[in-house]
Amino acid sequence: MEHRIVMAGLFAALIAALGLVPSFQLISGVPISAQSLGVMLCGTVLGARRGALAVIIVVVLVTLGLPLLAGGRGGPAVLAGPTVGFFLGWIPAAYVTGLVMERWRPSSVALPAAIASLLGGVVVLYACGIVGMAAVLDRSLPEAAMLSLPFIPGDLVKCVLAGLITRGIATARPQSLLSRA
Amino acid sequence: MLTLLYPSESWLHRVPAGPKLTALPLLSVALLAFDSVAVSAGAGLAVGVLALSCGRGFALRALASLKPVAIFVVLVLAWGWIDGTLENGLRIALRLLTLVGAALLVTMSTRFDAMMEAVARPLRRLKIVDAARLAFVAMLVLRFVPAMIARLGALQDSWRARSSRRAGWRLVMPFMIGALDDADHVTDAIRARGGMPTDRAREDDTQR
Repeated sequence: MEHRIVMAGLFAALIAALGLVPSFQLISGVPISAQSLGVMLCGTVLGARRGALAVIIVVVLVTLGLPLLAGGRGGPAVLAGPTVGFFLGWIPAAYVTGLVMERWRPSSVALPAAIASLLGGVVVLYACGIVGMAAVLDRSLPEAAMLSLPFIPGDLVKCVLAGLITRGIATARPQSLLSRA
Repeated sequence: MLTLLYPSESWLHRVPAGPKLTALPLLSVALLAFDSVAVSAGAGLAVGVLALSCGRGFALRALASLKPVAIFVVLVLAWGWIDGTLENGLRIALRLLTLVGAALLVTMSTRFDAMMEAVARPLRRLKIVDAARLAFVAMLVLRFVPAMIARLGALQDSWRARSSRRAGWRLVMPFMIGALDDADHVTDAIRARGGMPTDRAREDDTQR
């Protein structure tokens, strides 16, 4: 029991630490933060429930005022901003990623982890994010979607990374891969 | 570094966390219920005056912290200007700035532990959340973050001592494995000390 809670804490810290990684730019000056990679890993490594718990820890700490988001942002201001859907969407994103990872168990690890990250960390996350942005900016859903599209290529790269890192963990520390325990 | 608190002693700093936190959702509901340029502009002005009443440095820092939403404000205004609904754009932009600004004032004037206590107290009374455990996990996360950064720094140093090339992705797996081992060690240490603190501890003791 302690181990699972500590692991959730560790991955919450991983999401926070990834926010300190300077954002890289894939194409045309769209900044890409590494934090959603951490959210994907929460799902693929910890599974649905623990993964969501790790993300909830981050969401609570950030909302209460710790500057754990990329760029040192934090506090209830995040909930009032246009990216609120993406921020809260991290929770279902990690949950769905973990659920896919737990249910779909072919012999390889990298492929299901990457696909799980795509479904949870991109499809579910953008669905939440776009709804949030449309609500805050009072725009239609397609208009909000247009604002979010430039970030998709970077997130696809992160899906591949999540798949490879998860496979690495499955090889080196199989007992730590709680999603397949 | 791990704080957004503005280090001064303004009157806003002395207001308890609970009322300040309660004011934010009330403000949101009010602004959505009376959604107009005039109301949002008035509320925004009030937030600005509040910020200034806490000192010039405080207000300037709050202004700087608005930067992440600035791009959306420009976007909404430009959008409104292009399709001829500038007033609509102005209304949305003002509402956004007011709500985010008000939340910033609360964050900048309230200590994190006071904030956490204000939220944990009602939850504890309702027995939804194990507050002792929540606090423990929060501290665990806060300790893990610098430990992780230090670990990455050590890995980078040892790479540089051995190679003139860039490490890049090669450090990712050693970093992850080291972090997972840290989790194992921390788990052992917690078990050796009798487990995590919990609100239920006292009841368990009486049962034993």
